Amino acid sequence: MSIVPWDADLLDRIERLHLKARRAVEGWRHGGHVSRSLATNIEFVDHKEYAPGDPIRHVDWKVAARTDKLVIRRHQAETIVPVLIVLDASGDLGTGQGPPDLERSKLGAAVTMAATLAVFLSKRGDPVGLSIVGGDGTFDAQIPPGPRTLPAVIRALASVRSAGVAQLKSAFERVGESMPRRSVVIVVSDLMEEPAVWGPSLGVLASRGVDCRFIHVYDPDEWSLNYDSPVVLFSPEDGASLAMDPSAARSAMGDVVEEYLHDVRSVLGQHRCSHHLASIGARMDEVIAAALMGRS
Amino acid sequence: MTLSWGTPLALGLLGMLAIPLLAHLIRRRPDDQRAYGAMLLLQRLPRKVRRRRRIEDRLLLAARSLLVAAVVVSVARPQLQWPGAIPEFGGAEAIVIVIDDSMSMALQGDTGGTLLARARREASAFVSALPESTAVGVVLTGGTASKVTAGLVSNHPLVQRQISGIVQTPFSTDLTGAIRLARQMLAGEGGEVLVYTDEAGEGVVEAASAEIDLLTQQSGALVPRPMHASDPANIAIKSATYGSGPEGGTVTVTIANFGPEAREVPARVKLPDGVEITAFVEVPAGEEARKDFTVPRVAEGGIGSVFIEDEMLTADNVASFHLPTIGASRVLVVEGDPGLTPVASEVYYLERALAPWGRLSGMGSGVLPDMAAPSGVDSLDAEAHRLVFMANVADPGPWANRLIEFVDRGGVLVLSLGDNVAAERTNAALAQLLPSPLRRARSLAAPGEPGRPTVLPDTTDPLFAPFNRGGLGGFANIRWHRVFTVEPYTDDDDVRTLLSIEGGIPLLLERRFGSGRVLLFTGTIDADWGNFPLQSVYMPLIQSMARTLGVSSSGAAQTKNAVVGEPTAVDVPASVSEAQVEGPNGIVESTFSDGAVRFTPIEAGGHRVLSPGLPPLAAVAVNVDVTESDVRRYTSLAKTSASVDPERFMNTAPLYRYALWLALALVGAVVALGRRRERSHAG
Repeated sequence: MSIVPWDADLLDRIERLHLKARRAVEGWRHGGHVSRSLATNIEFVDHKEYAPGDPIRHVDWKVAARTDKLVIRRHQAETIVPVLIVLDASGDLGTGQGPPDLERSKLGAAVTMAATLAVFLSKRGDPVGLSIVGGDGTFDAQIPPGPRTLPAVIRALASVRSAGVAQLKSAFERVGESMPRRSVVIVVSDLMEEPAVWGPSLGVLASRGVDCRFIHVYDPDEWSLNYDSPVVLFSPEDGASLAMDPSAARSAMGDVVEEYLHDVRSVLGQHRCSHHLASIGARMDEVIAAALMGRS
Repeated sequence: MTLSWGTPLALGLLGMLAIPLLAHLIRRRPDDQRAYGAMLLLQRLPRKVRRRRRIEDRLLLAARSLLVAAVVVSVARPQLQWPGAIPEFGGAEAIVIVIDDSMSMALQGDTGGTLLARARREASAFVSALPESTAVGVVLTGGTASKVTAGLVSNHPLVQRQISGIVQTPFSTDLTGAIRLARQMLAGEGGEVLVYTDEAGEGVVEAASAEIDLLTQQSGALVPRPMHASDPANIAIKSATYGSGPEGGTVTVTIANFGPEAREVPARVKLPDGVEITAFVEVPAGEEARKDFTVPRVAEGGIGSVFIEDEMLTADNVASFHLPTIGASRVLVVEGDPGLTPVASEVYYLERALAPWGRLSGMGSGVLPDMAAPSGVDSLDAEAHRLVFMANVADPGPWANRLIEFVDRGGVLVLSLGDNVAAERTNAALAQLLPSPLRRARSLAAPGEPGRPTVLPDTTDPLFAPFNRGGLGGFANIRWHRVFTVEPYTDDDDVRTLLSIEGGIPLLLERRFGSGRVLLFTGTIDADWGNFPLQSVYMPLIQSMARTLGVSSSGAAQTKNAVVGEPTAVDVPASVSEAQVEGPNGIVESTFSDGAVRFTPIEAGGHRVLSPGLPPLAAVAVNVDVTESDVRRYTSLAKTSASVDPERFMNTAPLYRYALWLALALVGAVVALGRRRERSHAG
């Protein structure tokens, strides 16, 4: 029996949050989002269960009277916005403050956030897809966005283990080629590859009008070298190791982190992508909410 | 204090101190290995920062460095040396024991007895522990150093008995002489000289350094055995002297405090006639205090004594001093040329100068003049009169023998001249007494001229001492028209010129004769040849003559001072054929030869030289050597000896032993700290 790595309480908290695009996405006419073009030919397509945030005026009161369920009438004019969650499951994500499959590891935190997003978006009726880069396990690594993909997404997230190398550059190129125009891509990664390498590959997404949002997962202990004594640090990806005295390098490490974040934000800013830092020890709901609203 | 290294080259091994430092700096692969997911950030770290290592476990590093330093230092064998050690002794085949039996050794020690008693005890114990074959000699330092044993002997019980028989002396310390005797006993064959001394007295030890040097050169070794009281203190009478002052004068007593605390001591002055004057004297620590005791207006002459009370050292609690007879001094004034009027007579001026308020008032002023014609010399009483003024006497021949005897026994004769004096007759009668034979009367200035002035006298002479306070210039106002000249003479021990007229003409000459003195005044004592009687200095000078010349000390012909333990000689008149010395407690051993009595006083107090049928020939005030009273330590014998033979008196501290112990302790510390570190790494 696999463990479902999402937090029901967390999901409940973020359920009330609205998905807001940082930029106006044409297909998102409902809610607080503003479409750049008004639909004039509205044709009923189907019903969907009401979810908090749905406009009350779209409730089909007749059906509600018959079935005691609140349903929303959906029309052809509403644009379907596919959302692809890109999960980095490379070996580096396997580190952190606990075992990798728990929330306090970087991968655990990343998977939890991805699952939460998937469930939330799915409940909203948005087609959700999943792309896992790196990782190990028996799962479907590429699940295109669709209306009934949530079980497969959850299954994949529950199965994935950290392994291998992310190769973000090729991953972003691949996503950029596969995603339709004006879709949303949410990347959950530690971004531990040189921004100068993978940054240009975001150009494809940007050129296709894809709204990209990056949830940057990190372990504060790793970034601050918060270790008591000299230690040998080794990379789970390629096995490279380095013996060092954390106390002697701690001060310089702060400068390096600052410079690295500057590089990341610079690359993402060039391609109009939002950036959300997610410490594995901090509250995830705030990060997810910010990512949904597209606020950096 | 000096530091020496047995193996100084070993200090080069201090470079090994780098070993623990490098050991702590060299990268050691940590045991703690962690998966790290941000290698990208580490790769961005500068290479030197990645390799930087802080020195780990500074306490362990310090312990290791100290361990290396301690081992290196112990190999280098450092030694600390400083002077002041008492060298090992008792191993020589010949040993001379020098025991200080001087007065200061009578100081009460910490164990109840005196320092000398302790010295005797320790020396005797030392001798008893010597091998039978060791030859031993004993020398004393008190007074003049002396041998207790004739030479080196091997009869140790005998030496011990002789040491036990050493008695305390009131003498000074002859350390130099004692070491010389010890050196002579060793006869250059080498050996040890153990000196049991309190090292008291300023300069006593330093004076012996040359002798110590000689001893060292002759293969001898001096071993100081200091005998000290833990907190030496002593109150001593440093001096007692009679001098002028109110009433009958003052006895000035100087009391020294050689201790660390101020003391108030009772002091008592006992005059020769038994009168006692007491007072308390506050003496500051380490200083002296002077106290003046006023003598009554009438007092018997002789040797007085001063006593204080001090238990630490009793020998210097008494001092003696000469006291002249205080009170009326009878002066016989012989008038040789009575004038027609009172002012034309010498007696007129002399009587008023000697007794300004009448003859009876002389009882109070100290001078009682008897006026007489030349025939009055027959009434000269050697026991009563102390001074005879012969003023312008034409022919002293008839009384010459009487006058000579008077002077020989200590009397003072003053001859003043004038027109009445005939040089031939005076020279013939008093040839033995005159400082220089008379020649003739000589005019110095024409009538109407002011006359030739008198040269200012030397006020260091007791006769002119009263003019120290003022009035000395008055002598220049004494002018002379005429004086008697004398045959050429030279000043020596017997004849002195006390006063002269400008141009080198003698005016007042003094000659010592027998036990007395003769003063020849070449002018007139009245106003015939000059204005002397009319000048302000006339009366005080005549008074001073009467007081200074007309006094005697207990009727003794001479007075003398002496120090306990020091040989003393007293000259006696040639007519004396037998003499002996009487001390405070009876007859003192003495010898009489070559016109002198010789003795060595062994106690303080008044001593008199006596001859049957004669008044005392001399009064000797004997006091202890105050150097011995200073019981404080000055230069130690060890220090002086060390300056001569420094190697033997060096303290040596082998520091390498301590370094070795430290290294062993540090080994334990390093092991403990290392284990703690291993546990820390394992955790």
